[in-house]
Amino acid sequence: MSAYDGILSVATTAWVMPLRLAIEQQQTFSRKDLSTMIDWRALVLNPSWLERLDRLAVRRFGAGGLAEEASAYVLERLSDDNWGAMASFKGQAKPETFLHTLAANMLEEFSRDRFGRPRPPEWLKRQGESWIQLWRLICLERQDTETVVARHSAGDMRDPTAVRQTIRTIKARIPNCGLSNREVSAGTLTRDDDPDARVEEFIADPHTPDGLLANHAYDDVVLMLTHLFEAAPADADIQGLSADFRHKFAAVRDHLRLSEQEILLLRMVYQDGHKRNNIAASLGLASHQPGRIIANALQNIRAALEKSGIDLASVYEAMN
Amino acid sequence: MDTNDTPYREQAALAFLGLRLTHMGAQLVGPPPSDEELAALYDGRLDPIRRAQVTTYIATQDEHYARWARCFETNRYIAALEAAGELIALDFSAANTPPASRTGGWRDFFNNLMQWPALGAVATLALVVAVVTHLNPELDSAATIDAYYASVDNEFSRTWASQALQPHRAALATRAFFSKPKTSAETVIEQGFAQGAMQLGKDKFAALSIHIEKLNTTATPPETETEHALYQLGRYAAVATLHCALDKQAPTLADAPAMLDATFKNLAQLNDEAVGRLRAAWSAKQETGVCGLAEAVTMNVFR
Repeated sequence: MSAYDGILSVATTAWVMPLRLAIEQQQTFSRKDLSTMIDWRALVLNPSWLERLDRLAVRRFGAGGLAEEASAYVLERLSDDNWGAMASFKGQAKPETFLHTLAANMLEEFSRDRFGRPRPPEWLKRQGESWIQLWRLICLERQDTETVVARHSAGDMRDPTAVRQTIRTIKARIPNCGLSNREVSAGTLTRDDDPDARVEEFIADPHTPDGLLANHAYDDVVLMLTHLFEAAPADADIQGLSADFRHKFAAVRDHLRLSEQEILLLRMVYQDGHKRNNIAASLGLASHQPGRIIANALQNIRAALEKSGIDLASVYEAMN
Repeated sequence: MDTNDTPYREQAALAFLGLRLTHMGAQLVGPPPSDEELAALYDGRLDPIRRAQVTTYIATQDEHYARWARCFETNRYIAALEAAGELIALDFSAANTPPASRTGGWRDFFNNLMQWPALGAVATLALVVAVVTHLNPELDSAATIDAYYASVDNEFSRTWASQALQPHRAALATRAFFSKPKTSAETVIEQGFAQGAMQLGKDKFAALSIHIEKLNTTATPPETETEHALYQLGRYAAVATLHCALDKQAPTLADAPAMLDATFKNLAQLNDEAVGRLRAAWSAKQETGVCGLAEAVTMNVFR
C-alpha cells in the first residue's frame, strides 16, 4: 500500500466513520440550534446595541418621530415569538452582523408598511440598488435632499458629489418626484418623460426579447453617459445615434463574458459608489484585489467594445 | 472616488456598459442565500464553495443583490461609527451565557454532542492541532497557528473546519447524503483532498508520495450540502496531512481513528462536573472555532 493509499484510507476512515455511524445507528440529530446558545434578549436589549439600532433608524429616516417609530417596530419584530427571528441562526455569521442585517431588513419593512410598495421606473431599476434607495428616500418618503446626501455619504461611505448628482438626475427624469408619498403608478409618468416609452418609438423590433434588451441597454447607456458627463439628463438626444450603434451594442454580447465576482465588484463600485477598500475588507479580499479584478474586467469590456467597433468617445460624440 | 475625474467617468461608463451587455445567465447552484449567509459573507466566514454560490446569486439576481447591498451598507456604517469612536463595542459576556429557561443542561449538551458524529471529526482534527501545539513550543500560541494556516492558504482559517460543518446538520438528519446514487463519500472526499492538495502545492504532496494525478478529480462538483461537507473534509484532510508532515513531532493521520475512539471513550466516561466544564469552555470558545474546541477538549477532558 502506497503512502498515498494509506493516508487516504485513514483519512477516509476517519472522516466517513462518524457519518456512517449516523446511518447505521439511525441517530437523530437533536442537537440544539446554536441560536439557543445565545441570549438574544440580553444582546438586543444591551444599551450598546439599542444605540446601534437608533443610529440605523436615524440614518434611514432622519432624526425625529419616524425614526423612533421605526426603532420600536424593529424591537417588536425581533422580540416576537420569543425572539423567533433569530431561531434560524447557525453560527455562520457573527451574531452582531446577523442582528444588524435583520434590523436593516425590518427597517425596510417598516418603510414599506408606511409608504407602500410602489415600483420604481424600469430605467431607474437598471441603474442599480443605490438609485432605487435614493428614489425611495427622495421621491416617496420626501426626505430633504441635503440631509439624504449627508446620511448617504456619512462614515466615508460614498462621495457626496456623486450622491447629489444621482438625485439631480432622478429628479430631472421624474418630474413628479416627491409630489406624493403614496404609490407611484406607471401612468403618472408622461410618455415624454418615460425613457422606456421613448425607446419603443425607434427600436426596430420591440417584440423580440433580444431586440428589446439590446435597445434597453442602448437607452441605459445614453442615460448613464449623459449622467456621467453632465449633459442635460432629461434632454439627452438619444435619437441622434444611428441604428448602426444599436447593432454594434448587440454584437458586444457575443464577445463579453464577465465572472460573477467581476459583476459584483463593478456593481458595488460603479453603481452603488462603494469604496474598494471597504469592499475588500468585507469580502475577505486582500486590499489590492478589488482594484486588480476591476481593472481586468474593464479591460475585457473595452476589448469587447473595440471588437464590435465601439469606442466611448464616438458614442459621446454622436450624442452631441 | 471623484466623479469630476474623467478617467473615473470613463471607467464608470465602461462598467455600466459591461454590466448591461454581459451575459448574466450563470447557473445558480444551491439554495438562495439566507440572511445569515449574507452576514457570514460580510464577515468572511463562508466556506469557498458556498461563497462562490452566494456570489453568483447576489451578482446576477437583483432581488438578492438588494439584500446584500443592505447587509453590506448597514454593517459598514456601524463599523465606521465604531472606528470613529461614536459607538462602544458590544459586550457579549452576557449574551453568550444561555438563559436557563432555554437550555437543557449539561446532559442535553452531552447527548447532543454524542449524537452529532461530525463533531467527532472536528474534535479529532482539533486534537491533531492541539497535540501539535503542545508538542512543538514554536506553535504554542494561537497567533502562531493563525500564521501557519495563513502561510498555507488564507482560506484555511482556524474557524474553517467548524464553519464548514455548520450548515450540514439538517442534511445529515435527513440522511440524504448524496444526490446521485453512484457518488460515494470516498469519491467526494477524494475530490476535496485533491483540490486542497493542488491548492497547497502539488510538489509538497509529491514529496510525500501523494501524486495528485492519481486522485479522482473528474467527478461532478458537489451539489448537496452533505457533499459539500465531505468535500470540505477532504480539503481539510489535505491541510492536516501537510501540517503533520511539516512537523516531525506531530501525530500522523494514522493516529486519527485511535484518537477518535479515545475522544468518544473519554466523552462517555466524563462525570457531570467534567462535562459541565467542557460545555462552559466550549461555549466560551465557540467564536475561536476549531482551536477553541481543541483547547476546551485538551484542557477539560484529557487533563
